[in-house]
Amino acid sequence: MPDASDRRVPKRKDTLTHEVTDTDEVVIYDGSGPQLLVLNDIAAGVWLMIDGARTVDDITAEILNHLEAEPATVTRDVLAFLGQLEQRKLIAWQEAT
Amino acid sequence: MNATGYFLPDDWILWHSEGSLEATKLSSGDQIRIEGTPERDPLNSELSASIWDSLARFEPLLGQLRRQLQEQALQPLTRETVLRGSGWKQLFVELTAKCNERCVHCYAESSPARTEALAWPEISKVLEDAKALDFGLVQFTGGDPLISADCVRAVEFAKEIGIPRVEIYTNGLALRGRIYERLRELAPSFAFSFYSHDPETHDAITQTPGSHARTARAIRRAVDDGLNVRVGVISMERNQHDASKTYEYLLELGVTGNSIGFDQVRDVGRGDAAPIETDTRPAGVRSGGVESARPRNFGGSAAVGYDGTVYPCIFSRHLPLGSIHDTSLQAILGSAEPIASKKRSLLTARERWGEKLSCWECQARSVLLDGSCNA
Repeated sequence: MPDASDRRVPKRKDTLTHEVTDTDEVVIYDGSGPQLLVLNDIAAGVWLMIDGARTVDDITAEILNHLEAEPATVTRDVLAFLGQLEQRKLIAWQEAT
Repeated sequence: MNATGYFLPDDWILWHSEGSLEATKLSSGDQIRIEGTPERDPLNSELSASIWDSLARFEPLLGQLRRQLQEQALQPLTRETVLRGSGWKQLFVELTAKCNERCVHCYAESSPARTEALAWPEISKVLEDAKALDFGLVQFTGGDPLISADCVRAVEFAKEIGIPRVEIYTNGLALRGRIYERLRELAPSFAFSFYSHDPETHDAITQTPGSHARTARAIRRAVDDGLNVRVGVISMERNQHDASKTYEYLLELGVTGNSIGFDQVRDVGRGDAAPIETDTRPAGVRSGGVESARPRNFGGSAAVGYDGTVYPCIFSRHLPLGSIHDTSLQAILGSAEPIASKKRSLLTARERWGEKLSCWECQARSVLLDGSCNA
């Protein structure tokens, strides 16, 4: 688990759709853009777990369960990716209920 | 982060930075942005077929982009590549500024009082350069090109050196006598300017009494003699109400429907003072004026003004590229001067130039070539 608790919950923007390709890659489409995002493996995993219920901690923990990596590194990558999504206004934040 | 610009003939401008690609389709203005990753860079390393398939499902235009990336080489974004597009298509040559009419909206501000004109050595050199650059069409315009003492000689020379298509854009007032007899033999195409079925309205726009009857007579004679004729009608406040009647009138003169184009006044020259009208062509009639008959591909046009200045197009007089008094047309159009790699927003093109420039290609080129509008 990450050192600092992060109970924020990322929520996807309503205009977004995504597709998982035959090769398990993920493409996100923002119809209001139009903007397309092609995600790497970790980012794709994070994206698929953004369901409006999981917190940042939940997502990070799930990634760590499936990946042999330093918790600090995963936390940094997850937060960086979520920060990019926020910057592009593709997600909004809400507090965990 | 600075992006590197590429031109993908003849319909895409691409701005690329690591992992990111912004693609603008020039013929439509559609803009798409793909954010990838260093491992999945849309340009530098091929995305998997699955990803492209997925992208194309979301945005069908990306299917077109993918095919063109597979078939064509990316070109650096230089003045030449942006001007040329997939090849030089149409060169406008303004033989003279003088005109026997003084139309209220004239973009070239021509009139009987004007005296500027290209000299024969300049005209012949321009035509040789046009041939060397492989222009498909040379249009002699002005002013009225038939007033130029070199008009017939220019058509003869263009035909002699093998320019594929030669066109004269005229009001037809001087299309008579020996000039007409010789031109009929040479058989260039003719594009006539015409404004209304109503003589009073037409003559008021040309500010030339009797011009309606003379232009109509010239059109009918050229049609009857089997010459290739088309007509451009510029719609403005004075004539927009009777566009359908004008269209019918031109059909009666023998002009075919698909050779009649309606366009609006451009905010250039004397047109700058005229109010910009909306497109008022009759239902089912194509718009875009006589220029719309050329293929709708990006770039490939240039204009040599009556003072020797070279522009991307007759309407793009805000973008002088050089003068044939200083260097050759080939050197001016062949400039490898890079366009600043800083990303520019092509989406501003219509907003900035929509009223002045008749087509999206010229609007887009203006944004790309105008150093003052870095985004």
